[in-house]
Amino acid sequence: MDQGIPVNVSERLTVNQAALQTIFHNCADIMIRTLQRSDHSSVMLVYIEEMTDSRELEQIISACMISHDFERLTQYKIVTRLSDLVAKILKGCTAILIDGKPYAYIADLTSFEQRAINEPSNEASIRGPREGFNENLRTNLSMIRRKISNSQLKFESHQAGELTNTDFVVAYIEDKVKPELLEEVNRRLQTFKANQLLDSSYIEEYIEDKSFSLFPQIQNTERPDTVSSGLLSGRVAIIVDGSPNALLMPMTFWSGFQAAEDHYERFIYVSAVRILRFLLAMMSCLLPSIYVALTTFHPQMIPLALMLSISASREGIPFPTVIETLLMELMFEGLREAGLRLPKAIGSAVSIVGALVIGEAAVQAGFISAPIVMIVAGTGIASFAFPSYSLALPFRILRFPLLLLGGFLGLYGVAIGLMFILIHLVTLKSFGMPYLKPAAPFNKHFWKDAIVRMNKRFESAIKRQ
Amino acid sequence: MRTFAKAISILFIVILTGCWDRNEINDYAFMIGDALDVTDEGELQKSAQIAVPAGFKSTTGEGGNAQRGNIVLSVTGTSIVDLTQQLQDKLPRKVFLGHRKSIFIGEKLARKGLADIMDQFTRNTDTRLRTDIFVVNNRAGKDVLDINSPFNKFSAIVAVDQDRYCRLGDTALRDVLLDLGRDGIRPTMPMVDISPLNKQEANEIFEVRSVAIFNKKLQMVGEVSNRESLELFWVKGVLQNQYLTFQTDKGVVSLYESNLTKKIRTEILGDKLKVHVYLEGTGRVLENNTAIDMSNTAERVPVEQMLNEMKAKQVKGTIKKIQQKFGQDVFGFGEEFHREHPYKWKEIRGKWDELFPTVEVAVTVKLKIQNTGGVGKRIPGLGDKT
Repeated sequence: MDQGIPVNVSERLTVNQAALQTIFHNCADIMIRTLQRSDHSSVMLVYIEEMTDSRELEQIISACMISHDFERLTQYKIVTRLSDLVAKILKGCTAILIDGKPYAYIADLTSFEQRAINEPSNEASIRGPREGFNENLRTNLSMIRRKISNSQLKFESHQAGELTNTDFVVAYIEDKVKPELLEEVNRRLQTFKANQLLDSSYIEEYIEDKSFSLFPQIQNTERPDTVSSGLLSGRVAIIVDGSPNALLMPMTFWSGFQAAEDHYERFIYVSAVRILRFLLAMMSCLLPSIYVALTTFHPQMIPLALMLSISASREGIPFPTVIETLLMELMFEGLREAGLRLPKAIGSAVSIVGALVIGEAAVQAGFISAPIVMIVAGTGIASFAFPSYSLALPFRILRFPLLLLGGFLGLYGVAIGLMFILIHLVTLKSFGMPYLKPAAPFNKHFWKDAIVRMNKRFESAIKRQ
Repeated sequence: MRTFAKAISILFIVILTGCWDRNEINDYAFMIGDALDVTDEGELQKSAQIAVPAGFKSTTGEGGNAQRGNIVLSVTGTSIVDLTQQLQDKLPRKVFLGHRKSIFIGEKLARKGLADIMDQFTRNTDTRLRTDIFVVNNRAGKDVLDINSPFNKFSAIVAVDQDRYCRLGDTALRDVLLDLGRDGIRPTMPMVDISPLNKQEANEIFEVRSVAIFNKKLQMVGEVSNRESLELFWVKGVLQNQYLTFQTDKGVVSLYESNLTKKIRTEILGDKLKVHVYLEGTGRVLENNTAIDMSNTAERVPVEQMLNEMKAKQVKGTIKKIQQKFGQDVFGFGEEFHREHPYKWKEIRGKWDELFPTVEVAVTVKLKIQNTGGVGKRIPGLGDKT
């Protein structure tokens, strides 16, 4: 604080007013109103107009005019330090300062426009709750609290970001969470030293185990039910004000393959779908590289009829298969990236042009052989089958080094690449939990809720025994 | 520096052991079928059926283009590798053996002996052991490759498919090599006949109905065909089902016999060797031109008995014929002796070719009629017993 500004709230209203006006100069949104009461004493209200409920404000003003005694208005907090007062005002509270009192009353009349609770667009589900987080921390917390009405559910409030002063909450269930995990999360949160916290991803990058890994080690979700089920299984969640994505830790590889509705649908269907997702994930990563490796290094491994038709469609194609596949994969990724943020009106134009570039026209022009189009399309479909967008990203990227390895070294190269990926995954840990658990190290939970999901009744019957 | 050294060494580990035989799929000349013959001058002749992918590119588009989709090239020389190299000289793409489906051997070469040829097939790692192998009856192997089948662009593949449905086993190179490596069995190969009966389609079809019999030195000594070849394979244990037609005193009955099994027991009675062959199977009546009601046990059992006696006689005749005419143990009786009398076998295996024709054979056939087909009796009113 500048010199000349007192530390505490002064008894004299004029001093306070001068101090606040210095602090809030050029802040057009902050209103400082001085009211003259009937007994000629003054009352000062400081608030942000857009963040305050005007009707309640009116009630306060009228109360100020009539009543002399603020002590009985118990829902107001009393603040004596000026810096606290400033912080509260910036959060949207209304400050009431009265001449002759060395403190200020703080009333929480915050009310501002917020996005309605929508269905989470990135994690839609057919069955199960449709609500998703929005940008308001309080709303988000209330959604979790409504699902877990238990005093064991704790919300530890924190603030971070030297400039943004963003609130965030560490949520956990005291009975379920391992103390070491909670301690570790809090220890890592201490290291968060940025001056801004605009989204939960800021925290994620600071506290994850290996920032340079391609694989996400902290799960993010827009769904309160996913967060709740994570909390109930002893995980810790971090919810940041202004971000609709909550963080859940620790994360395992398998949780990336689990959609929220996996726990709401019938278990046999879910198990089948999860296996399908897993196969598609492998496909999205390996299909182009294996195709290239087989056709350029090991044609004896392809059945004759298939190979002859591939060979026929490759007649007169100018590029080697690796380059061909690489070009088409790049084209596809480009199309995907271009279509992501386009306005809807232009979006259809991109898809029409895209269908020309990656499709029949490219084949007929003789640039690209037809099987490559199939391979790229298959890879594309497979890469959309991930329930978690952030786990789909490493598979998308790894496709390219594997493709190059397959193109230069054949299946041997693909095997080398896979080996390196597996070594990395096996050594990776998320907050002390092995990333591939329960597959490596293997335990019987693998059959409960990893690649298949066990029947809940059956599972609890076993537990009771 | 350390990290750099590590990265370089990992790179070398990866690169130095890598397979650097990268080749685009359309830079290969895929050899689909192979034919081996001997010329009149006694030189080895090799013909290859090579896929021309551009030939079958537009199967959906224009349609009706009578392109073969393959070319057949012939060269003569001394060794198989030399011949392959000569073939390569005629082709703009690298010869690729990994997809060879079948090998045809002209009868002339087969009778001369295949020992010199086989070494290459075992030694060369490019060879698929699943390649089917055929002897071409009375003709050169190349003639089969020239056939232009309407079902498939490659006659070499047609032969493989046809081999499957004509029930003459599915003899691959591997089977021949396995039989060759044993003392108690002699190899056989199915034979392709270029059908002389169907004049108009003479260039389009061929038949597989005979079996070529080879001796220890891999020289073809003879052939059996039709029923006898099926019986040969039944006793050998590769036949799984067959159609049987037999004459009763009241008319003709046809059966489809499946689940065919064989069991061979051997006996050594002093100097004499004896083999008991037990053949079993279950059947379904397909055609019944007699008044016998197969659904009636009392009527069926005599038929079964008659069938079994007749079949036993036929099989015994076939075995006797092979013993006396060719003297080659294509059934693997020697292997059964080996299994049941291992010590005795050591004494006799050196002279098995002389002993085999003297082996006494008893055949027991146990075919059952399990299913009378769609109806029990014949069509009502036709040939009914009144």
